[in-house]
Amino acid sequence: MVTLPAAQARAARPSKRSARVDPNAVHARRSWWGLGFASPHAIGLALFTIVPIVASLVISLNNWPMLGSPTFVGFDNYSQLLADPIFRTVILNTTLFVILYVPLNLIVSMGLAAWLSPKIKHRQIFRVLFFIPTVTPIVANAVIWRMIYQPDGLIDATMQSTIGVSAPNFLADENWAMLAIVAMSVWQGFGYNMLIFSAALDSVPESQLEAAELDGAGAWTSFWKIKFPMISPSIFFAAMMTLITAFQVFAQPFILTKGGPGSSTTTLVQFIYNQGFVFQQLGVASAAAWVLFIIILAITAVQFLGQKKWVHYE
Amino acid sequence: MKRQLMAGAAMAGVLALTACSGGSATGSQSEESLVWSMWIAGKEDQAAWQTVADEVKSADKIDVTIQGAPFTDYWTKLRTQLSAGTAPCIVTVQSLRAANFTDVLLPLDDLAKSSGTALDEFDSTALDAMKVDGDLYALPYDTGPLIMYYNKDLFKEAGVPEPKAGWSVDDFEAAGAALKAAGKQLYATSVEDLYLESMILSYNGGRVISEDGSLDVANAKFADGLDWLAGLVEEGYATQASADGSADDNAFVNGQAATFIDGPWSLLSTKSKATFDLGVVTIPAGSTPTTFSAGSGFGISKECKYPEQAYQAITTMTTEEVLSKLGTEGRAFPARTAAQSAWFDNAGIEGVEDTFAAAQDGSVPLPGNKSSDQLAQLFSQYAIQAINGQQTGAEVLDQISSQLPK
Repeated sequence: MVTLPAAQARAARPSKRSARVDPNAVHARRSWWGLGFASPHAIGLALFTIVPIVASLVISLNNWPMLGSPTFVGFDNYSQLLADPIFRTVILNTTLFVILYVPLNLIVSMGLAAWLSPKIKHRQIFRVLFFIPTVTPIVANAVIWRMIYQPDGLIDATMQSTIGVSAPNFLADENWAMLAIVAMSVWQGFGYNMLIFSAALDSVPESQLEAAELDGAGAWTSFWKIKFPMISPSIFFAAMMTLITAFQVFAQPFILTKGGPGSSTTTLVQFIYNQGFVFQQLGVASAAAWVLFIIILAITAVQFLGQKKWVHYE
Repeated sequence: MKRQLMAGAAMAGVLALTACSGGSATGSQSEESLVWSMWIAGKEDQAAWQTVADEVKSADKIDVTIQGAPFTDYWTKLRTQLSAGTAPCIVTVQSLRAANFTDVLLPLDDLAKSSGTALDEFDSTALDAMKVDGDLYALPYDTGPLIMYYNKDLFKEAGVPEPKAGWSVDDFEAAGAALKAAGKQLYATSVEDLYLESMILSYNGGRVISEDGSLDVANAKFADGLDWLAGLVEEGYATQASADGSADDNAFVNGQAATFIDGPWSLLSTKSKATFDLGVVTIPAGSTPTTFSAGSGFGISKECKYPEQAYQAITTMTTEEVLSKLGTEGRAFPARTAAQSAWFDNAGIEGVEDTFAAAQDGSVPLPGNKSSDQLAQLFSQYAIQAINGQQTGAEVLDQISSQLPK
């Protein structure tokens, strides 16, 4: 007979079936075991996800200087943010980055994945080469790209020696700085999506492609009518993840421009960092983090709703 | 047996968790073991400061553990630690940033009095720089006026006479024209607070932090100073401004630009990197030669439970012997008058003592302000627009000022 905690034993008493093996008791015992097995994950989730999320919500409702005591201010931090012209610029900058970066990243990675078909010789070597920027630390990449962009750097020096004209000061010119950051980010980021697309394309059954070919479909048609629909779940996944990470861009502008010139390359996460750690306003920083979270959540939701139209699950 | 194994594993897990929750060595400070936070520029730097820590070990029997971070990240890290309650006992502070930390640093006046420290043996400028509203917050270890470094070889190549202490803005611009003719640039531009502010102070007396430490960001003279620098860039006399804090040092060391501004603390390390003959001179002056002076020192965090031991440690870290050693290594221009000769003897740069004397004569302390870190961040974003000629100095200062607390 199973020994039960007193409370469960009382609860089990009215049942006639308890004379033999009580299913309630088994259920209770199982759920304790289940809870036991799930607890490492549950504790981890609570400690490292739920507690920080709730804490940041609480902080965002307070005037919370890094040193000193916080005071409750309600939604003041949010209204202060919405009234701040710099914050509006920052939202625009981040959106501009996303609009430029996400499509470019997807086009480049898809183009290269399509080109790297099994027919290409040494495709594994190309795959590794294209993947290298993704696995090297982004800070090191940014430092190298700074040397390429700066006056007397690679681009400027090459232009001077070949056509005798100086290149623009990419990182210190408002019109160029964001484009320079996007270019560097695409170079850094396309490898990951390329690998996903390449694997997805490889899994498209050869028989279907052959059938299409016999029906007279060219490379273009068979890509759009067969390959694209078949890999659309992978494209959806890649587009979603790229979009989310693009909204969180930080390291590239932080290293290349510090958010300048002016605030032309200050992104949302950099704004959060500056407010929190340079300006020491943890309340404002947390409020901005919530704004970022809501933007990402809304766009992800829209994408999920829109996927029905173009993503085909078998 | 199995049960014992499980128990052992569980204990190990608990230990690992508690070790994590300590976060760092700062959690385990004691009377005999203190943590010292310091900015560290590399392995050699680390080794040099380790000898200072070793000195405390042998003199006071206190283990001092260095917790290093690069200078640019140091302030962010330190403030985060102080707010998270994991403060190191010994904290290195820069004079112009002392005002940002007065609420977390222990005033040292009482400790100095009770331990009979002879404060008058310190260089008075260095000591004053560590005071905020009359209270002493750190024992200084280095000090000095901001000066201009120059490349003697480039000046010679361009046929420009070597600059002398007290040279004027006109002399400076004339040198710029000659160097331009020789295909070189005169000045490696910096938008870092200390260097930018010193250059403009010497040009026309414009300053964004007044003598009493209050902010005056929309200062019209300072705006003129930015426009003057923009003129130098436009003429091709100066390099374009960059958000990268090491761009000026690099342009100078590569021989791309013939001058740049720095403090005495970098002189010997720059000399070791340069492949040319290095000289130092006062910053070119619009009228009367003047410059800012700055320095650094060791303070004690308010949270520290062992202030007496920490004070003992920082006293040892700033003795004449230790500072002379740091001076000889070129790590710091000593904040004790008696130790300064060691630095001069080792510098091996002609005329360095005269230049220092002249610069020191005209130097004024750069007072700190609670917003100086924010100001530094905004300079790196906005000042480059003024200097590269995309906006006027006044426009840029207006934008910076609108983002700082009134």
